[in-house]
Amino acid sequence: MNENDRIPRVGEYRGVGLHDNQSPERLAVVKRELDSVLDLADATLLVEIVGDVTWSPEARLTAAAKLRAMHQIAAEDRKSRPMFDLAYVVACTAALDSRYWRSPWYYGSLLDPGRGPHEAGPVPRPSPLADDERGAR
Amino acid sequence: MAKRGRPTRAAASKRALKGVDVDAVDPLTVLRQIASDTSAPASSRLAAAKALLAQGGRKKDGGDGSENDRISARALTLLKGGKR
Repeated sequence: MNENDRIPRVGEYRGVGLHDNQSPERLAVVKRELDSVLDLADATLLVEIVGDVTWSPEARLTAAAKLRAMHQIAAEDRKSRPMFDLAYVVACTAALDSRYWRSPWYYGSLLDPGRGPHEAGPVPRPSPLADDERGAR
Repeated sequence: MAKRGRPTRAAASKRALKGVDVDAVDPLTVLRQIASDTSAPASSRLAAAKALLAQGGRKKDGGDGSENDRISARALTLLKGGKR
């Protein structure tokens, strides 16, 4: 990813950067989700989180990084790889750290699937992002 | 007359654990004691040292969290754009 396209950070929590344009209340939710993800070691649950648009982008990116780390460490230790599709994980999180692709209406990416029937869907922003905050070209 | 002799395993454990607060036993402290005991067999010390290394090797300070485990540490490196 182009470094200029990365979403600016407003701080860090447990080593994970926090995206800008979020209220203190929203950041508290993100921190709670990061706690959950960082304490989780189950690959199946992490894959669920990666594909779940109701979780914050920071938590989903962290879950994806943990899954990639699991894969790398298994390869280095010459152990059997964990049973998940790494391409799916990358596809779910590819645009979550992109200014251009971030959704102006939701905490997520424009490439995320929308809300399905009987689903909570992505968390809406209190006010839409302006074009310059999205890095629109 | 009851047969006398060596106590059963259960009786020996009961006597050994008498007065010991099981809840206060810290597994990492036990590992550190074994690893630093030069009179212990080398294989035991090595096994304890390996287990300690897997746990991060040192006492964790303050907010003991998953950052210190190997996967989370690698994940944070990857998140910051580090390549491994």
